[in-house]
Amino acid sequence: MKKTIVLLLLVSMVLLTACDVAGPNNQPTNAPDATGPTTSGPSGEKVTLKAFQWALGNQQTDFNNLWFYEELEKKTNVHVEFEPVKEDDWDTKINLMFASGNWPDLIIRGQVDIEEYGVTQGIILPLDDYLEEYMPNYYPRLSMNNSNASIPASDGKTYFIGNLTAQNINHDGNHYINKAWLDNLGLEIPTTIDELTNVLKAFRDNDANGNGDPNDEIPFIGADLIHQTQGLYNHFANFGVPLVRWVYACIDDDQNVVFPGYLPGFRDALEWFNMCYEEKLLDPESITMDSNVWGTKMNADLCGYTTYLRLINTALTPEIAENYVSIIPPASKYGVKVPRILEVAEFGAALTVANKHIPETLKWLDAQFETETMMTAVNGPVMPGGPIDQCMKLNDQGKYEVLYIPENNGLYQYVPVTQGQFFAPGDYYFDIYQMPPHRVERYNSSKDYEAAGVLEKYSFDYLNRLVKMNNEDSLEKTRLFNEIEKFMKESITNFITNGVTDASWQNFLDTSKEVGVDKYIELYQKAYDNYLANN
Amino acid sequence: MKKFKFLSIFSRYIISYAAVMAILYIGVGIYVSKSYHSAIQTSIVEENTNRLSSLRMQHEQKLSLLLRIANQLSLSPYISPFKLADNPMKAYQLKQQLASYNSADVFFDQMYVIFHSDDYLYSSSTTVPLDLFTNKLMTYEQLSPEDLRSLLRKKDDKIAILQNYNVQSVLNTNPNKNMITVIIPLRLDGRFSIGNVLFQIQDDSYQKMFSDEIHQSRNMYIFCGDSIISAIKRIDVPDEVILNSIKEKEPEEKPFRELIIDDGTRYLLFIQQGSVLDLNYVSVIPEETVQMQAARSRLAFALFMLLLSIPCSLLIIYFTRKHVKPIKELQQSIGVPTNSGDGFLAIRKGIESLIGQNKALHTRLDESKPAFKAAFVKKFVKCRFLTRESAVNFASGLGINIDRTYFCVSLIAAVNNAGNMLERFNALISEEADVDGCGMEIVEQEQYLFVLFADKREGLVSWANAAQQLLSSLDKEAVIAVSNIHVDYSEASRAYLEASTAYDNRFVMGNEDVLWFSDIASTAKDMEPFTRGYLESFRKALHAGNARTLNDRINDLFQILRDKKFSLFAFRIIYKEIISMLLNKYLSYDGVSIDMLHYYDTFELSRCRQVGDLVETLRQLCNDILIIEEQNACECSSVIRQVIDYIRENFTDPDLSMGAVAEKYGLSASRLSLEYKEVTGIYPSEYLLLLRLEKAKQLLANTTMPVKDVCTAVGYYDSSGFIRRFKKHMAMTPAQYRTAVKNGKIQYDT
Repeated sequence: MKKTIVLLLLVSMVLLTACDVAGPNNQPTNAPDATGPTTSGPSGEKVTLKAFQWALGNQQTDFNNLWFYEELEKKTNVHVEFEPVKEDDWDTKINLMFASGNWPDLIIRGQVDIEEYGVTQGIILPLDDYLEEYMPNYYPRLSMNNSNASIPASDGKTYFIGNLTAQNINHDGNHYINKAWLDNLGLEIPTTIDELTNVLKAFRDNDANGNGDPNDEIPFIGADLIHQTQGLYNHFANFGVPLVRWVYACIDDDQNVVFPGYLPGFRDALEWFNMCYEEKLLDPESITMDSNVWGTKMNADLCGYTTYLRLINTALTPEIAENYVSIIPPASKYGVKVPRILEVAEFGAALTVANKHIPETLKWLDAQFETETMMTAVNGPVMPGGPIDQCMKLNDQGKYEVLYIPENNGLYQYVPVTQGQFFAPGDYYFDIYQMPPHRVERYNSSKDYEAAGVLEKYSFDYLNRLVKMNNEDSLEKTRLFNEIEKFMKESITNFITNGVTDASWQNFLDTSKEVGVDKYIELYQKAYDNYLANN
Repeated sequence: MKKFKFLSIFSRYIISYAAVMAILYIGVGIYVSKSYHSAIQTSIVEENTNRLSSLRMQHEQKLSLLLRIANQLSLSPYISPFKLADNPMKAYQLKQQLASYNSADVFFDQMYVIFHSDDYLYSSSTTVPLDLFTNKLMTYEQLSPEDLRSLLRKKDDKIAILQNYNVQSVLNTNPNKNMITVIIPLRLDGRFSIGNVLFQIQDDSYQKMFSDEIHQSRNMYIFCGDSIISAIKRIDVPDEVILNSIKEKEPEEKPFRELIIDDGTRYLLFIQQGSVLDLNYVSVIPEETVQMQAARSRLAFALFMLLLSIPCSLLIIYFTRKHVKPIKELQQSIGVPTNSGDGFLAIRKGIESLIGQNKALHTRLDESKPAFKAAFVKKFVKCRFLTRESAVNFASGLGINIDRTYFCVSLIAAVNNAGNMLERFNALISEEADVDGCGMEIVEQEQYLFVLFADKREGLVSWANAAQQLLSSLDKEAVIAVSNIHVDYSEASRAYLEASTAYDNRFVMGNEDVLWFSDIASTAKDMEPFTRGYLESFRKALHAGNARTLNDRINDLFQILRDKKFSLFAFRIIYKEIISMLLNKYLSYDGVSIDMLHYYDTFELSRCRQVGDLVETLRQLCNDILIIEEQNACECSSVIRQVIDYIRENFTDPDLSMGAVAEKYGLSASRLSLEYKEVTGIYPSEYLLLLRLEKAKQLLANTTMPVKDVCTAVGYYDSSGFIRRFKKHMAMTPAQYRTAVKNGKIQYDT
């Protein structure tokens, strides 16, 4: 009997197995394809990371197929899947990303609210325990030229890898005028607002570009109201108002923190803008268009006066760039105050707590700080055998020297340029680098602005980057910032479009109070006082 | 067929099972194989239809999202047509508004709003003049700037979907990508066309929709009118062929159409019409797929069947062996060689032969039944059945149920010229419901002897009365005698003697009624104590192994029987008991012949008329026993032999005790006692007593020694003890014994 049972069991088992193997309904499952294996685990095995990558709005970089990162992958055995986010969408998308809970392994470049996502929410990973061990290239440079100053958060921890290019540059938005047009019309470089207004009117009224159409000239152009290089905010400097998108507060010469809207030149600036708009001196798109459209207009030789980062090696074609000259902002009666930038470390990269490969990630980042790799990332290949001819060489002084800059921003097809990792404190940088013309250009314009005394005395960057607030103040500051930014953008747009009346001005002042400008300034004053006390 | 007949049983079983399995396999195989093709086709059709439905739903859901956005924009307060040049503030607000549609998981890559009254396009990130947009910023590979401009300017209120063109633009996330463009009219209050919304969707998003499916050779298309919006192509089918097929109207509603291209390749085409726009969702698979899958499934099924055949074969072998085993055992039991060619034929012949033998046996049995019945009756009344059960079984074999509470024995006088009386009386037995039994004829005595069994006494009585009537009808002079009614089968001989005694009393009691033994005055009860006492002394004498003593006992018996004037019956009973005891003793020896049983024959006994007739028989039996005893004694342990001799030599010594004897032969007293009993049947102390008493009797009979001296002479110090023992043994005191011998009442044979 026992034997029979065993035999029947055996038969049932065979049958069941057979049914599994050869059932007629054994159709393949309709499962979605995996995008690819994510390797992880012991060293020697390729690690795949997901990166939230800040990208320039006007450059097209295919991060996932970039020669530089492919080479880096060979060296580090780390594969990174980039999710590029254009700078204009950055703020929205990074907040969405953090809120979604679907965090990448690392965030590269851009702006990240370290206090909120690091100190408070704990999504950004503190790196203090890892830097010395896993970042032998980066770590020693932190102690040079006080370059670590802006990095520690309010809790004293290091949440990000810095990005620093110390080359004695002190401002972003440099003022340019179309010298070719001036020459065409026999005009001088304007030094005052009035002169500028006249020049602009001349541009408007004449065929300044000489294309036969006297109506296609745009005398005065900006892009994206608040943009740090092309935005109209840069032109408030002409009225002694150092207005920047990052912080609606500045430090006056007496080290008091003030709201730019309260500065005496602010109303005049708005009235001048409105005049420019009404007089069709200002491109009405200046508030709304982005840098791509701006660049297209610029390259069509349609624009007279604007602000920009520099002329060499930019979105501007060299022919167009040649038409422009750097000028000291034409001054109003309030004098000129160009926002001064400090060469402190910016956000380079951070890891989120979702990262399961911290050592591999940090090693991958640190490999980018190796001097030649770092220089390659920004300037193109140093050694032959790359995708394009060598862009740099080591000169007789043992410094990297740029041999040429590929045309039409060609570099962005191979290397991340400013979208990657870079950390060069002044001493270090000058030691290894022979400044290229575009750097020299910015250095020179900075020198000129400094010499002309048009820079604000105390940089807004003290408020923007160096002062630390406690979490409560920081949250309140952020809330107020969002309110004030919206209010300022709408007010400025409204004033430019509709002009300034006493009533609308009073309304502006009243609303400023309502949205909490005074509280906002108070928070910064407190933080700045605190900073001064400690430094 | 002939060959099959001569196969071994094992092979025949295997072939039978295998044939059933094969028919089953072939049947199932043909059925499944046939049904597979249609099942697979149905499954593939279903799968493709579902896949296409899923694609359609996904796509329409996403398109609905675009339509919803356009609809929301139409209803937005910021979406009243304006000119940017006149109102940059509105442009700023619109930009802000559009930014709210940016989210991580939007289907589209870019969204632009354009008003008919304005020359700008608006997105969440920028504004851009229309000319700049079409001429410089947005380059469609197969669409001229003019065509693009006219599409953006179109006022026909219809949704336009452009196929996926390569688009180069710095405004897009990827500057060089295939894009699907959807242009949706903006209608103020849902009525007046005020502009259009342009959505650009990366073809990658479409490819994702296509790709979340199994890797089958399948092309999928989304057609809008005549153009392919997007497609995934894994097999090479010209687009025109598919387009032509879509245009053809199929008369019947089938989920798929068959498509044959120029080279003769056949395809299955699935089409679903979209519900949102003029969209057609198409998938194409080679018909080969169906064939292949059917073939694969058939192969899988064949493998499955093959796999299944292994356990089936094992089971067939297992069950065949299991079934063949008892058949082989059967063959062996009926003597057929297990390796013979046709096992079943051999079994049949064997069984037929057995049946024949059985019939012959029954015939013979039936013929010899009366003889067997006579043998049973004889054996029963001689108490030759060792147990009641063996008697019952024996009778049962003859068709007589004797397993009943009561029985009796009857003797019926033979009547001349009465035919077969035995049959008549047997028939009478079968007429009585409660009675069973059988009879035999004792020719030399002219008697019929019946043994009868019944559960109730009344049954036996009733039969006796019926037999008496029957007998009377035959011969009025004939008599019937019946024993007492007994229960114990071992009393069968006694019952016979009772019947015989009653029969012998016929002259006294007459022949009108049944002669019941119970009606004859009996002294049996009076003689029982005597019989028991005498038997005990006889037994001890026998064990003592002394021929002379035994002879004395026989003489004593003869004397007593003669003196006491027992009835014939009592005498026969006593005699039977003695013979019985002697025979038991005799039969306990190994190797004795059954022939000796003639000493004890109830029938002989019943013919004895005087005591002297039996003395000789008794003496002869005792003699035989003693000879055997003698032979056995030689074989017994030399030690015990020596002990016996020692006791014989020294029994007159008053100091002779068993302890002393044991010590002399190096044994313990208890060991000696047990071994002695084992060899001789009595304890040594009893043997010593017997020797002393015999000696005492001798001295009492032949001398005039005072009893006291006799006591001392036979080894007793204490005369009272001697007298008590003597009296117990002889049922009289030593003095009474001496007197009896002197008076000739008891013979003492020297």
